[in-house]
Amino acid sequence: MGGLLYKDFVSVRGKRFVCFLCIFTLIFILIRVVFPGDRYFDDLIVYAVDGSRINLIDIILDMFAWMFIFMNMLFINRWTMEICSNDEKNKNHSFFAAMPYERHTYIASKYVFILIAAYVFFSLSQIWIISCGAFMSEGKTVDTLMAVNAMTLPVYSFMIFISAIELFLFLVLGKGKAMMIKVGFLLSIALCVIYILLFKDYSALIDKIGIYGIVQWVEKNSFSMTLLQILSPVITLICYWGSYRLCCLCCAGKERDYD
Amino acid sequence: MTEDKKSELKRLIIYLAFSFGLAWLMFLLFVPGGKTWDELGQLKQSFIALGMLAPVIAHVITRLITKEGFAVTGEGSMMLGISFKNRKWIFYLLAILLPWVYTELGNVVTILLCPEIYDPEYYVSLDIEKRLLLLLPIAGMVSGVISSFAAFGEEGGWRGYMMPKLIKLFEGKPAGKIWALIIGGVIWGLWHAPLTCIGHNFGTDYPGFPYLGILMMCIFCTLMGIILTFVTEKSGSVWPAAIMHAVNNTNPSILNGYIDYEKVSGLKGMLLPFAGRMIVMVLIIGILALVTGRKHNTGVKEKSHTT
Repeated sequence: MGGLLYKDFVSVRGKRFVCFLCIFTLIFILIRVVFPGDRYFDDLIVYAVDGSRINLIDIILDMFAWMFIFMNMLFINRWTMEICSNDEKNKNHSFFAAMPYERHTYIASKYVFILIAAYVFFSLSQIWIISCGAFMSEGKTVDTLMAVNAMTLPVYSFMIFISAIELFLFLVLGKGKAMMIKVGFLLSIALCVIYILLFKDYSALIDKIGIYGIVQWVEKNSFSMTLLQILSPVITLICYWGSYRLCCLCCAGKERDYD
Repeated sequence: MTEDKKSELKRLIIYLAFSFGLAWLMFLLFVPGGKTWDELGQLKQSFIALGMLAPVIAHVITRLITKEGFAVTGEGSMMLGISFKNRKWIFYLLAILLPWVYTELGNVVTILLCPEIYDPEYYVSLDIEKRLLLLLPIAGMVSGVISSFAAFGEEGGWRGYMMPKLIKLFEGKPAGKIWALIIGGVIWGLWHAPLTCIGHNFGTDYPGFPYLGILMMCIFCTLMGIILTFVTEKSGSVWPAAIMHAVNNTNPSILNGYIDYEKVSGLKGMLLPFAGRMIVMVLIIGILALVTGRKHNTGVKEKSHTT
């Protein structure tokens, strides 16, 4: 399986990407250390509604951290499609059929690759959050960072759950049909959102759900958050394994016309 | 000493130089002068704890310098592969459950040794819900597995490089493996010295600070190192050790909400949090040695019967 994993790593230009990630992480940590939250520049100070001082450097670097984490989540999604479609594009399936790999090993390599990628991205996200928070000025910004950090694991678990579904679709149906289903689903969600924005009154929802609303909810519901953080990865991994088994079942004995 | 062992010693020295150098630089750069570990705050502690990545970085740098290659599995490899075949999955399960077992039993022993620290309402003063307390060990195990990257940073170096080199160096000598395990534990304990000097694990309020703390850390690391090396050798991978280390660091125990260490101070306050756990670890090592010894003897007897 190591060879299959390395093949997928090369196909997504993994080496270049890992170098970029490492350099970017080091630069971020350096900037965070050189510009800590207790170092104020006159032009970069704002005052909150309650009069507390907020360093804009904290906000800017916080935004960078969240952009990085969001980008990692998108990469998990993108690589899920890429590792399946690259084999189809390069017509590798006939070649693999001649190799001493069983079908389920090939399928397992896809699932394992995405799991490893998710683990690496999650670990890097934690490094970014820790680096960002360690040098932040005391106050609401730290509380916000920590409250939103508490949501990181459930969100990553959700991304892995989506990957489990997408891997199943791409491996069983092929890129064409899987993309059709994916685009159809996303369009349906987009239409629902547009309908809500145009015809429904969501002002009460906006009042309840703001960043400080999330912070307060997390602080009030520590038990539910802990339960969510325990259950989300466990349930996700069970579904992930289930998706793998179902995929093996559907692909067993299936002769596909890859050309 | 043979040429082979001399080159292994050189490689080990290079590794230790980088491992200690990188970690101690991190610790010394980011710990503000005069502050203790508890005064740093949780986020700063977490940032300094990123120094745990130093051993694996040192491992990679050493392999680049010594040109040993970066094999993932097999003899002389980085032991990064994961295999559940031949009942190896048992060691992954042990790695997740064992820290909870010895922490919980250790707390029982601690309470038996010093009953005045037991406080049935202590968790109330910590503002923790009782039902949350019951979830803590499971939360520790799950977060230990998922957030094991920092522990992998340590184990990738200590169990992935240092211990195989030490075991090779002491090969052929009487009780060679035991010496390797003890020296490995002492090195690991000394690596923590800058943090022990600012009160990590043992605080600052005990006689003989920080030297007694460093000694205790060496003893604890030796005991822990024996169990970690066992799971690494049996599974052929550093990942069970990384998971076990990560779960251990979450201190997974329900009884933590019922033990108030503020009621004791000085030497007692320093020794008690670890005494119970270390006693249970010695028992676990004894059981593992007995089971492994019996299996080895059975294997030897079967071989002698067939020949």
